[in-house]
Amino acid sequence: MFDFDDRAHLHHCDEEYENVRYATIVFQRMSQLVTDYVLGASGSITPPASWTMGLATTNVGAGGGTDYARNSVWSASVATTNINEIGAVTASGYARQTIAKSINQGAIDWGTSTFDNTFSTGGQSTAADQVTFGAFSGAPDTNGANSWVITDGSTLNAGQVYVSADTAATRTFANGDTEKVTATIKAG
Amino acid sequence: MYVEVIYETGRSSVANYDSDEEAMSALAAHHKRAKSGQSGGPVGAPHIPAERIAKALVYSKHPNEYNPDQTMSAELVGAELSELVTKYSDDNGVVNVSRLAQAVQAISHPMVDNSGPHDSNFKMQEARELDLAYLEGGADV
Repeated sequence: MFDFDDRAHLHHCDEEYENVRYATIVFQRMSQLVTDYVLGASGSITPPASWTMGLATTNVGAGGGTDYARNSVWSASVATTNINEIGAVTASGYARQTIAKSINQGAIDWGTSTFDNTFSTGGQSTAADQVTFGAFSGAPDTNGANSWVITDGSTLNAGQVYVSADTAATRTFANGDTEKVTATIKAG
Repeated sequence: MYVEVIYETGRSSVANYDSDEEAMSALAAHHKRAKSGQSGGPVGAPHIPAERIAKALVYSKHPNEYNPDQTMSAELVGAELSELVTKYSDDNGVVNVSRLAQAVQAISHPMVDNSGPHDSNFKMQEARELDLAYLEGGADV
C-alpha cells in the first residue's frame, strides 16, 4: 500500500531538488500500522508520539543479503539486514531529529498532501519540513551516512523503523558540518 | 548533553555533545562558514550555505523524550479533556469525536505548534542557554 518517494531526500534546499529517485523501502511496522491501527483501530500497534529521523551507515539496496529487508531492525551489529546508525559510539554532534505528528502546525512537521492519479505509480504524497543534523563537532563514530530512516525515539540503534531511503552518496561528516534532509512519502 | 541549535533562518536541529566546549567548537566552525558564505557541508554534498546560529538551548536529555510513554495522570487528562471539549464544541454544542481524539493525543506530543522563528520547537523546558557572544568575536574555540 505504501510506496516511498524520496525525491527530496538529500542535502539541498527545497528549491534545489535533484528530482532523482533512490532506493527506498517501507518496513513492516509501517505496513502494520495501516492494517492494525488505521483499519482495525488497534490499541497495541499505535504510532509514536512523534517521528524521528536518523542517519544510517547501511544501504537500502535491492534486497541483497546485506541490504535492508522489510523486517530490518536497528542494531549496533553490522550484519545481514541490520540497520546501523551513525554516531552510536561517539556522537560528535549527531542526534536524531524530531518531526511532529501534525500537518502545517509545527516548525517541523508534515505538509499538505497531494494526489497523483496515475494508475501505475500514483498515490497520495506528503513532504516533511526539512530537518537539519549537526552541527557536527568532528567525525562521529561510526561515520558515513548511506541512508536515512524514519523511526521513533531518540536512543541510537533502537526504536521501530518505518521507512528508509538511500542518500545520493556517502556523507562523511567533519567539524562544523550540517546535513539537511527533506522526506517525501507517497502512499499508493 | 543535547543542544537545540536555532539558526538565524529559523531552522533548528538537535545535537548531542559531551561538553560545552565541544558544542561551542562545532557551533563556531559552522557560524564561521556562514559569515564567509561557505557551504554547510559535508564535503561532496550539493552547496547549501551555512547558516548563522542565533540561539543554543541546552537539555539534559533529548527534548523528543517529553513523554515517550504517552502517559499522564488521570486528573491531568481529565482537566485537559474538559478544556478540549469546550474548545472543539461548535455553536450547537456538538463535538467531532475524531478531531477531539487527535487533540487529546497531541497533549503528549514533544513539539509545540507555531513556535516563533527563534523560539524552541519543544515543550520540554531547557536547562539553560549557551552564551553565544563568543561567536561574534570570530574566535575559533
